Amino acid sequence: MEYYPNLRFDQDHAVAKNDINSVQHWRCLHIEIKELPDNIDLERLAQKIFKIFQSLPGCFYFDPRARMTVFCKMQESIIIDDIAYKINSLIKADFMCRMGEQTILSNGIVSLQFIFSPTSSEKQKLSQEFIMQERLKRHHDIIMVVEDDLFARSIVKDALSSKFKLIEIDNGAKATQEYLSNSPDVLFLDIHLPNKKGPQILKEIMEVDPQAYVIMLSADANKDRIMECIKMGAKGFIAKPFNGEKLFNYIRRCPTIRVYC
Amino acid sequence: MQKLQIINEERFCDYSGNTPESHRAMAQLFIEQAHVYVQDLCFAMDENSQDLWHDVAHKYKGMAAFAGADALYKACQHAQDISATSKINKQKVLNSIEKETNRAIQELSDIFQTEHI
Repeated sequence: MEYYPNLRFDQDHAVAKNDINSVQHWRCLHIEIKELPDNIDLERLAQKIFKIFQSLPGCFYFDPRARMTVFCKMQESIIIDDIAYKINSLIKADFMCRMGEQTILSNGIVSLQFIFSPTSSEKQKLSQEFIMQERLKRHHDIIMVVEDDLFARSIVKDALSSKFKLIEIDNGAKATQEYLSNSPDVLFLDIHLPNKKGPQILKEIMEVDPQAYVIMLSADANKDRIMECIKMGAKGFIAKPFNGEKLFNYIRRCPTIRVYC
Repeated sequence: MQKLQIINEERFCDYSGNTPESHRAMAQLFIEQAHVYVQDLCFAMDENSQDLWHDVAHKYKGMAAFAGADALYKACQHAQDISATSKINKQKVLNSIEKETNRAIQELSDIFQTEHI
């Protein structure tokens, strides 16, 4: 295999440089590494990755914009997962590999994309994708209210239960888990809760679902606390007391809500 | 419906649904919860727990606002503000909360013929 630093993958160049009788075992592997720690030199990493493929016929491209592409004839004994595992071990940080697009190039060669990202961002992406899939799969909208005051919960229930599936949680400790189990479209979250406060729950939810549509509730319109929640990703705030219309004003703006209200 | 005086009628009806049944149900719920909150405030005062006192006063204030019980709301706000004070001062505030609670319960019971627990 030939190593081409400072050269972006070019299909014509790769084909010209190799003797391709049949495209059957030829693969084009695009390797993308996201959020690489500062202490890792990408060029040195590219050289190490090159060594994994060194014995195979083909070309290794490492372009100035940090893109790596391996154009090679794969032996049957080489397993894609092994490649991901080996590259992952070279990064020497908590990274995960995700397979991206799989396409067929104009000459019939299969092109695969390997995306390496820090485990935390990968987990976040997976949870986010899971939550989005859950929302798309079902045929109804779900609203969750986390509020320990029974009276306030009853008002929410009276206003919303005829149009939405409503999930009521009365305790801060269960809120994040229930959010992940139910993937609600809208979450109304009280700031003062027993066991765990609203801002802490909001933080936990935003870590796994940055697109979460969370509206904070409180009897105290404390500006600093509200701003803190908005900065963390809350989409709005409703001061108590509120009526159904105030809830609907926010629900209507939620992009995943399908019910006309 | 008779005119409410302790409870802000317009607000109570705005927040408690559109039907006489829902108003009655919410009045009943208010009465039940009010007893719980007063008991919790007594407990917080006896245990000298500032956090619990503050949290219960805050919750009760929220419910009073929903019910349109303005005097009770103010008493709860005052209780919340003095959570760091002595037991004697808290007892005075608790007495005023109990007084306003009883007035609100009496009015709701009379109007909506709810069970006076």
